[in-house]
Amino acid sequence: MKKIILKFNKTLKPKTYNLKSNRGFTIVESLVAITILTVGVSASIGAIMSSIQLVSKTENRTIAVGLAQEGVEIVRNMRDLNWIDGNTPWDLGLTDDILISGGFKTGCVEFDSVSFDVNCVVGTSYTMKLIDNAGNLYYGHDQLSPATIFSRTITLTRISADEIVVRSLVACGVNCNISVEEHLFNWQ
Amino acid sequence: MIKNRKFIKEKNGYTLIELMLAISIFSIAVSICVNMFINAIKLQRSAIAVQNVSDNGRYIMEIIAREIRTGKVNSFILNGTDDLSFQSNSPNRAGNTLKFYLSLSGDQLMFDDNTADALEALSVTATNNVVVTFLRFEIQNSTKQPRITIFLNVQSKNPPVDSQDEIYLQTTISPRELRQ
Repeated sequence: MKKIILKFNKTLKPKTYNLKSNRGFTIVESLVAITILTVGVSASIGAIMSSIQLVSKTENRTIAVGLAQEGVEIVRNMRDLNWIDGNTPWDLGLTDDILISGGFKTGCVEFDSVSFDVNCVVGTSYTMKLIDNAGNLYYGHDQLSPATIFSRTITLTRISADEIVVRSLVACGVNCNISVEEHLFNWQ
Repeated sequence: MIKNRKFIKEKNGYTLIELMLAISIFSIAVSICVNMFINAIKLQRSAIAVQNVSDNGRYIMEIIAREIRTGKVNSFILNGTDDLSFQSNSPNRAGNTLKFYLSLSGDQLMFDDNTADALEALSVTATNNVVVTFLRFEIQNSTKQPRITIFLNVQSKNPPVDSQDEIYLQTTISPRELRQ
């Protein structure tokens, strides 16, 4: 019996030593490991979260693109009306009023979805409001209606006798600007 | 044999307190993870709703704007505020009368590319994802060079509470063809 136990101990002993030599991690090591893991995981989750949240901002850009396009179309329409009415010059009411340095002319237009206004101040951005006129909704400049995050600046610059540049800039919140540019010519 | 048993006894187990501590730390960690996961799913769902709504809104605007802009139209006929029809003389429309209107159920934007044929008008939007709750056309200078303002409200259809989304779109289009 003794012999068997001795033999048993002999075979087991090295294993026991092996186990003992496997030291665990120290508290510092495990803290460092956990910290690195936490930082890594939270950073990636943060990145995913913010990318998902940014999707909702694309909607504001979509609205802003429509409003910016409107700004350019309205100026084109004014030019076309001038032709149809036989007005001279062809850009009457657009850039013929204000002289700026260098001999070129600058003007602006603002449009409240019903009528346009050429008595605007060049470079001023006009806040778009969501107007509910007896169930008829539209973006415009009514004083009483709730303001949206959108504001529009339409600037007209004459670069030659027969060419004007229309720049329609719509601001749609932080880090969100949509700018549309079109060249209009005195050519039918 | 007795010695052997002693040897096994030397292996310490865990105390109840250690076990409870371990379980509580584990459950706190897991619940934080699960919470983050659920939040991410919710955000993802609302992101999809936003994407559907703005995709469809943009598509509607584009399809109407293109027909008006290139249509070589003599006169736009507005029936009420949400029903616009006109004869398009652009090459691919060949004089057909086109019609954009809000469906009878009041939730889809319909486009008929030829009102004279027997084919029914089709919904422009993805009928399963979004509803068009409001549509308005406004025509100005109809006797001279017209300009058409389109106003549109698109919403997600049958959304879960946390992923409701809507968009108000507006643009104005002036036809490219100068009226004689």
